Amino acid sequence: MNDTTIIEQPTIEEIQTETKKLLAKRLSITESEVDLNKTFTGYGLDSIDAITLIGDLEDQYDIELPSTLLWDFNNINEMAEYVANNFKDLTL
Amino acid sequence: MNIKELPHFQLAQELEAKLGDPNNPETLMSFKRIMELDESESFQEEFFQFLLSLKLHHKYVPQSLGGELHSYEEIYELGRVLARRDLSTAVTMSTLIWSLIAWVGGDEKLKKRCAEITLSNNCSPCLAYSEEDHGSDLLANGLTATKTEDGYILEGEKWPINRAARSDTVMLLARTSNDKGARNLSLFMVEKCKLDPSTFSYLPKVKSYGLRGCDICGIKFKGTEISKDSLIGREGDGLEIAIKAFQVTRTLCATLSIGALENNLRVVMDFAQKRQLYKKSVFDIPNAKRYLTGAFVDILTTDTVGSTLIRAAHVIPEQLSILSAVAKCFAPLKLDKSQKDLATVLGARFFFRERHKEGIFQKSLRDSQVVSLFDGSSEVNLYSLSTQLPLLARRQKKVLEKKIPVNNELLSQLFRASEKVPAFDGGKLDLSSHSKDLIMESIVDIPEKLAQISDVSSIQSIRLLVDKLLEKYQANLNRVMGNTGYKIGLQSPEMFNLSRQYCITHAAVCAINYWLYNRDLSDQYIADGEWLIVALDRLLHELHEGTQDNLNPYYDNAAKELERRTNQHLTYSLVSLPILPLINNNINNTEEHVA
Repeated sequence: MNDTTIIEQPTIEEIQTETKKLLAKRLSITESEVDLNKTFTGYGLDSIDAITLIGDLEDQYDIELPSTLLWDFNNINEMAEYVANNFKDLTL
Repeated sequence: MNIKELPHFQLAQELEAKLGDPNNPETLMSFKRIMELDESESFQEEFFQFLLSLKLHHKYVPQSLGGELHSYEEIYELGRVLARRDLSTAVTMSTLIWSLIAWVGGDEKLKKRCAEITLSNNCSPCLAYSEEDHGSDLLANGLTATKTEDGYILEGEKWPINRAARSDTVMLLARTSNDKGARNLSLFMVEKCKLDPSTFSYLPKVKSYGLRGCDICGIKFKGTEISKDSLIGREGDGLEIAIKAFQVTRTLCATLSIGALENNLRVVMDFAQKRQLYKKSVFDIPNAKRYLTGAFVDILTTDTVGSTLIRAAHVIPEQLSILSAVAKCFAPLKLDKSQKDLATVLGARFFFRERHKEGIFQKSLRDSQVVSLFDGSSEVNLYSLSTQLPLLARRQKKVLEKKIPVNNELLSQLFRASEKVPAFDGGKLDLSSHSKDLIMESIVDIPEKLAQISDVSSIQSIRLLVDKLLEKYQANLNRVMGNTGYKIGLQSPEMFNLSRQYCITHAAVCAINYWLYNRDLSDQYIADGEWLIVALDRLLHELHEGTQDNLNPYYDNAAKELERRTNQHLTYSLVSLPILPLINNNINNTEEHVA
């Protein structure tokens, strides 16, 4: 959707922090309980939650991510690296 | 142009004519024979073979693969005709839709093979996803497909599966990896004729509340070897393909609920017009008339949802994840309630398995209740919607506040019945709509579109109801986003309720847009928009928004239209088509009234 806000390319660390925050919120746990290297499935994230978390990230950065992103990347570290490296192509 | 001449409506009329008059016991698919098979819990083999003789199975294969499928609108209309006659047969026939899995996920070779099988006369696939211990939790499935040099070895059971025994191919979801992730499942097209018969068997038929003649049982594999060509897509793609295919089939579920209700409405109308109580017909008892009229308008409303969303599979497949969930949450639940209202009017006869129309009412009532469970239950869909609702709301709030105009060209392609839809492209289906919902976003332009209409006498009432709807919609957006001072939990009952209300509002927006885009193509009653007033009034009541205006004249006119269609043997759908006269009964009925 066209919006006047221009979002700058976030760093890998910023995406990691944001994902940590969103995941904690989705799972009703504290951010300190989220480990960047722990697998998404290790948190008991179901397939619908995984798609919804992607929606949260899309909304945060005004980008469009592959719907199966969290199915194809094991943990926050791997996923954040992909998003940061492909940010331009993902921007709406 | 005459909307009734569109190919899918022509096909529906042709099929209806071939099925014959259900009241004539000599007809192959008479109520009498349908009930005999139901009572004896026998499979509808003779009906199925008859439908194959009409080459109905060719309708499930795209033209590009040698079949006759032009658009899923055809399956929607044909499904309605069958559901109107016998839901068991409609459900049996509907398993042919699982060829869709090959169209969505298969490579060219597999698609070609699936087309060959489907076009042959031994063409019955079944869908084998669920397992006794895991229900709709597909990721927990236990049936394994272990890779070998030449293919895979299957081990495990699937249950309950419609047509597990009476099928030639099994669209099978199996675990191909021990990982916990969503990539641990793969889909296979298993051709039974290629299996060693000693390595698979069937579990006993399940005794069910409805669909009693259907072949609902299970299948067990024990060291069953399948070739690597059976794999649909890539290893690990199973869940993704399965969910995408469900998006189309869930949308089609609406037509099963509509057909079942249409049949029962006609059955009860026949009773209500004939039956004299307190010196008048049951139809003339105000509350009975309101129930019947309500059911009629509910069919119209649900038809705007179903017929639009099945076009969406062609026009905006990338948004079907949300739209199919709306169809699945709205249609069965809405029409199950209408069925219960009809039972109230029919009184004691609703409980009988004989006499009035051979007792077909209770069968149709029982059978229709299972539709909400098909292809991921309505509750599972509601859960999926509730998790996405905050994102949808955030985007829609922006659209409303910034008055971002909707893509009218796309909207017209979606709603205008005479516009040909593009060929279905399963590759465009997506697991997420990425917060988009074109239909709900179109709400922003509706007041202006209505303001431009001056040739409709009831337009003022429509505008007032739309204003109320918009008010409620905006209030709900604020509630979802937590702007009201109270934060609603994502999986809370409140969020589920708001998701249900989202579906109801969606239905209202479908109805309004259908009317706006098809007035010049429709019969007088649909074009005049009075049905829309009743539809919106009923939907607003469901949203707990009472309307203050006296809308009784619109209900009265809806009742007259219902009577007209009943007496003239026309269907109760948005596009009213002729059905075979209920020969003997109606002649007698008319004579009774004249007398």
